[in-house]
Amino acid sequence: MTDTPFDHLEIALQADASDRLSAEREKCPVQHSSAHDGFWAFLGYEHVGDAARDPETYSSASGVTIPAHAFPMALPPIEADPPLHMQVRGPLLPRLAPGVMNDLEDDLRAMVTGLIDEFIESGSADLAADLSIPFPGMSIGKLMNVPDDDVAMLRHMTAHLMQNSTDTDMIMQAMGFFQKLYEDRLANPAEDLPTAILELEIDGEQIGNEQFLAIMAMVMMAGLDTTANAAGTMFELIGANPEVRQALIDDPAKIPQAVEEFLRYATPLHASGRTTTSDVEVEGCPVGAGDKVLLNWLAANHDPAEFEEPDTLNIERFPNRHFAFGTGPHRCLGIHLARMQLKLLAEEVLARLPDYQVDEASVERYVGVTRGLSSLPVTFTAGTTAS
Amino acid sequence: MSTIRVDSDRCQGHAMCVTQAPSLVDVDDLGFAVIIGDGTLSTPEHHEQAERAVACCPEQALHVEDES
Ligand code: HEM
Repeated sequence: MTDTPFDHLEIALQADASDRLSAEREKCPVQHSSAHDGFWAFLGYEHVGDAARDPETYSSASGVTIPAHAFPMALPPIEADPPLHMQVRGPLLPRLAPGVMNDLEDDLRAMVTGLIDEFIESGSADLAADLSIPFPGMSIGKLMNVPDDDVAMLRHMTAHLMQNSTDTDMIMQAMGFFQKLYEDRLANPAEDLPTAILELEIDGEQIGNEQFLAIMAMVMMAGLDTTANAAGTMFELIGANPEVRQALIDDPAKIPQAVEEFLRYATPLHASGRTTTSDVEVEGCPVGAGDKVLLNWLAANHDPAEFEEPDTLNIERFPNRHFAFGTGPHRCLGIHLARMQLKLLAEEVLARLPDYQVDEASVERYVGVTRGLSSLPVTFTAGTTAS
Repeated sequence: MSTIRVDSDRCQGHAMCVTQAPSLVDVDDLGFAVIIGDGTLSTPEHHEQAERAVACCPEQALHVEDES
């Protein structure tokens, strides 16, 4: 029998990924893999959490994807350590705080309503391609405070990029768009995220054009696949669990807590990488300075040491201290936007197509940095448009 | 009297506590948890909220201090 090395990407593609990760965790919660040039996989809740909260030992500056991504530069704040990390993250926090997201709620809901209007009369749709994938790009457009025409353009551009992440023409087009945004905010500063990025100071000096583009691209990319796949997996889980669906239809106030459970269960950003800065011993394993470490959020989120019956979807779960948004200083900056988007999507879909049925044979899964669905075909009782 | 406290070195702004203890914890402009008033738990409801807020924090940044 050949011993195939542990590969989180191959596992994350499977519908039963969390079971397979649990089997690996039971064998060994910290294990070395020879895949992707070698790395240590951390699979238990405690080890993953401790490492994520210790950026001095577990550095993000050399990249947080295993294998490494294709960008020629590090992308802060996600690929930065203290003190640079907080210089970038700190000034962005107020622009992504809960109160700011509450102010966006009506605009974001109108986007969801509009997307559902496009298919509600037909009785069938692809809840991934027609809803979960376009909505995050549009939301990011709102967050960037760009005109409606640009939101429409971003919808198509981001959806295309999510499915063709190496299309260099489209990447150049995105960079051109950010460049225009840079020049515009330079001339007309506003109370918005692009201006906050523009005004960032690193070691006392305002950032330049190139750094603006890198940070802008990082923030945008972080908010696309993640949210799209969180939404897709949420709709798949609702579709597969009739009692959950009924509970949320009967009492939509339960949706926010249920969203946390969908996130724990599916963990669309399934793992993040680190590089050690010194020799450490973890679970008896000699992790050497400069080694790659994989923090497997999905495995941690199904660890019975932290979660009772981790493989049961329980929308009443309490407490639910999941790591779907990470933990420690790199905790997802878009957490409040993502929660708002998922809440609105669940509310509107359950109000307007509550009886949707998933065509399970046609569901298409994909895995990159995130795991989720590129296609989730459904049928439902046709309804009428909202406008 | 018991009081609820937040350790701001640990808080990362998940804001889970606010959903569990809206009369005890709020978030500031950056999204970090702040205790409303002096954090005194003066009713059974306060105690229950505080217990839930402490339990749900992914960073274990909240705790209840007991003083007799
Ligand atoms: C459900 C959707 C989302 C999920 C599951 C998710 C997940 C995560 C996770 C696990 C991390 C930590 C990575 C690490 O520790 O290395 C992270 C970081 C980050 N996320 Fe999200 N994210 C989501 C949505 C968003 C959105 C909508 C945005 C943008 C508005 C965003 C922006 C960021 C940024 C900028 C970081 C880096 C923060 C830092 O390093 O300080 N995310 N996200």
